[in-house]
Amino acid sequence: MDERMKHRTATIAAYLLFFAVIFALPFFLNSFWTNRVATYLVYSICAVGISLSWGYAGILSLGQGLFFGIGAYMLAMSLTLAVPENNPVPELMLLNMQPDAVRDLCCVTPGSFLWIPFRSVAFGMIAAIVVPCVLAAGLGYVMFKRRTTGVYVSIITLAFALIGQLLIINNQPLTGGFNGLANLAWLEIGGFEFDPYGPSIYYLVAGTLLAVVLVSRAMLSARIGQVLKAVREDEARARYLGYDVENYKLFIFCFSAGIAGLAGMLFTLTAEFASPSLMATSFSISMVIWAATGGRASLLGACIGALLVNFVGSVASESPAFQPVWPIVLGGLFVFVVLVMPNGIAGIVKDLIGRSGKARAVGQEVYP
Amino acid sequence: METFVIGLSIASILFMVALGLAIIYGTMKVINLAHGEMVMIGAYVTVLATKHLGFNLYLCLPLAFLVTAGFGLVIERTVVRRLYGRLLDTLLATWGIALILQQLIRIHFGLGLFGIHIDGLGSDLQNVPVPGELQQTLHFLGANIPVYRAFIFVVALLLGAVTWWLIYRTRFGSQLRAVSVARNTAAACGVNDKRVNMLAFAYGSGLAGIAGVLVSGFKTVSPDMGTPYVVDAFLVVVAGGVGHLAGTFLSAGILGEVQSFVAMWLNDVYGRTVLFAVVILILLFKPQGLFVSRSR
Amino acid sequence: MNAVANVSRPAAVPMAAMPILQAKKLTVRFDGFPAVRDVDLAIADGELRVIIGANGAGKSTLLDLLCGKILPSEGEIWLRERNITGIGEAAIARSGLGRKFQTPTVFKEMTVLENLQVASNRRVRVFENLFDWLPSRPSDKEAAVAERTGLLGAINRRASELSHGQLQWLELAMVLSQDPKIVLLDEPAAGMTAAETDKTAELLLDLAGSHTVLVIEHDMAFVRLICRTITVMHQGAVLAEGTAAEIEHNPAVIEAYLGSAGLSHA
Repeated sequence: MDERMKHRTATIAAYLLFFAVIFALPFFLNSFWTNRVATYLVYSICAVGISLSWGYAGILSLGQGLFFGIGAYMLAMSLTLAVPENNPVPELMLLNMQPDAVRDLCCVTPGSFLWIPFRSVAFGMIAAIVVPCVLAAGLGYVMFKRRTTGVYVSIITLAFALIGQLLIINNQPLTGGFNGLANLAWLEIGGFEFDPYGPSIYYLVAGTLLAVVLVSRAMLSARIGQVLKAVREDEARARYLGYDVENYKLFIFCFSAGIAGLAGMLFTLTAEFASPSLMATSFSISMVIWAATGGRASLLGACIGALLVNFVGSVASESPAFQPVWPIVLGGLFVFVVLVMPNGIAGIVKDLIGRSGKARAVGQEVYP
Repeated sequence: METFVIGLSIASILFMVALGLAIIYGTMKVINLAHGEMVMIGAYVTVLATKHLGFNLYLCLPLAFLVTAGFGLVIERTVVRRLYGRLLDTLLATWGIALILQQLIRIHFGLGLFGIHIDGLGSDLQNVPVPGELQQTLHFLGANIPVYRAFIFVVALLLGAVTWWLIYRTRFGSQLRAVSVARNTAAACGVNDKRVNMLAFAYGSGLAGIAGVLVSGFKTVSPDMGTPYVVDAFLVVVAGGVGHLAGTFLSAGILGEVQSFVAMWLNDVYGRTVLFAVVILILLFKPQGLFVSRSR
Repeated sequence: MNAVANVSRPAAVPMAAMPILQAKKLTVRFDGFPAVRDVDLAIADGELRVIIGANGAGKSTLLDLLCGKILPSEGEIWLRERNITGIGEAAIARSGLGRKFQTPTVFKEMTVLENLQVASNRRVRVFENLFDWLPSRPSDKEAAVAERTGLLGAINRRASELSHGQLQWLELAMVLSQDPKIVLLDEPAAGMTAAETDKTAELLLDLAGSHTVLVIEHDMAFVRLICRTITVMHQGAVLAEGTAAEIEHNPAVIEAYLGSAGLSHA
């Protein structure tokens, strides 16, 4: 019992410390770094989503990038329309339209009417979360009803994301194609403009991260967290106890997709673009690696992993001498994390606090 | 007809890449995401050998096989060996290896850092000279068939045959099959399963290297050219049914043709979209593969 | 399966003696080979039934069929007046069937208490559990089950730290806290010490009456400890049914077991 209390106190202290640092940071950063760190916090949000579905429920999605990208696009569409020059129709459509087409969103290019509701920024923000959830629900429903597990889930989500990416690249008149959407207005809520390089966006992102972490933590300490853990360990056993395992998986898969969409939406605000590169396989896998580096089964670990990897990466690419080596270091990190620290930074810290190496087992392939 | 032959050549490349992956995945349950980089390395071997050694494309085939098999050997011994039984982790680790290999090519194996540049490496696109006789077009049944495409098909068939012989007619093959069905039992019967793993990994990588040589003849060579192949090839493996040589062969054929015909009909992007969609459906509804009969 | 067609079919047995669990012409084939064929089984409420048979006789496959792990090629399974064929493992479990596997199947990385909590939670839907906080102490029911299976002292231990015998008990405890009407047990005494075996037998006898229990067992000594009615399976089919004495003198059974050193070692 004493051990448990100690662990609990340490965990709470770690969370408090982390968020104290995060919320204090803008006072010490210039506007460039405020913006950078805000972007990394967006990645942290993503990593929390991955940690939830992979670390806690054993579902390794390699298509998180698709949900992230869609989230980014949804808000980016609204912010594109918020730019005065893009009225009545966005420039990208003017470039791609038939010469005799009517210059109105309803019909300037095929499918352009889909943009109409995005005149409302609120719609874009809501869609950024809802659309990924709905897509995940559709895919997840079929996948989990068919009892697809393990690596098949990873491959299917990966292929699904590739389809999404290809479709977006291919429908240039609708989506901006390969270049994506880059000429965006600032987000304005109630007359207040969010400056991507100012502290306002930073606190918006940090606050969202805090909220996502709190909600996720609460969920994990409710019964559902226990059931998810049970599902990760032995799906069949959970079924024989009367749980409809597929519903639980579907729920966490959608939840995680929603988080990715939310993160994507915030990414549009900090990075001021949305492009198909966000949906690339490499980006999806990177997200997984952030979570793995920090500790796949630790929400805080995942946050820190995302921050750390991206911060170091960014510092590295600033230096011309180190920049060409960075991808090699990153690749090496993948291998190192998997080989040497399967529970990531969080696992190492846990061991240090003296939970006597027994917390290790998570990395020993719980999922076949 | 031309579409069919192009489809056939896409299928042939897919088959060679997938065959290697199938052996690796089938034997040791490792998803090697660096497999595409073996294709890339095979292509670079061709670039370098034609540029610096005066090799022609034919000579590059065995050379690329040896080089990529060597890479495979090293990867197996240093990383993959430690990860048996942790399927999803191998996926991440080999992706890391893929990143490293790509970047090594971009920075001239590190020499670029010291200002030394090797012609043929770096992040630029490279092209490979194709022997004259392979550049011709054949007239067959009223259709124009590029000889090179037919050549790819023949090589793929040959490799398929060699692999079949290796797996079903040699001692190594029977050990390989034993290990893939029941590793522990095989090991208990005196099969050196580690050695089998290592050789299988090397051979599979070598096949991808050969595919790389052939790809370099009709596509530009670049450090990140391999990534799409590994995804497609893995889809082929799973669709055909793991551990099924004939299944891999057939599914490569079908997926290659599907892609080629849809691509001609609509465009390249839709070709790939349909390919992925088909595979998702296969994985969902027939996860044990198209050509495997259901058993317990 | 054809559940719709069967809903209104009147039960063949009079209500008073209606069996709680019934298998009707149950058959399953793997690649054409019938692992279980034409099995008819009727278990009365509160009965303790033992199924014996040699390796490969189809005992475990029969349990797999009953709990929904595999679908029958032909035949039906009825729980009282409800056809539960093909409704899915989870739904079968919810309708009151608990299964213990031959090799202990528990959640290894969770504590004993957590295992019991997952098992005893009868509100199984996602949104019911979303806002339901977990107590850190066992409920009365969980404590009682843990007490009964001798696990109270180990309640905060991780399942992976338990001994094999304790794991068997834990799984049994989980099945019990599921509050099942019918308990299916696949060789519950396997790998247990003599003392543990006796205790298991005691527990099973204790259970019978309040629960309906279906046990697969190899060990005839154990069977004699607990037996009431025995069903003998042979090559996928039911060979005989009766008390221990009847079975041991049944010529068909004796013939089937000739060459395998007699029934007592089967």
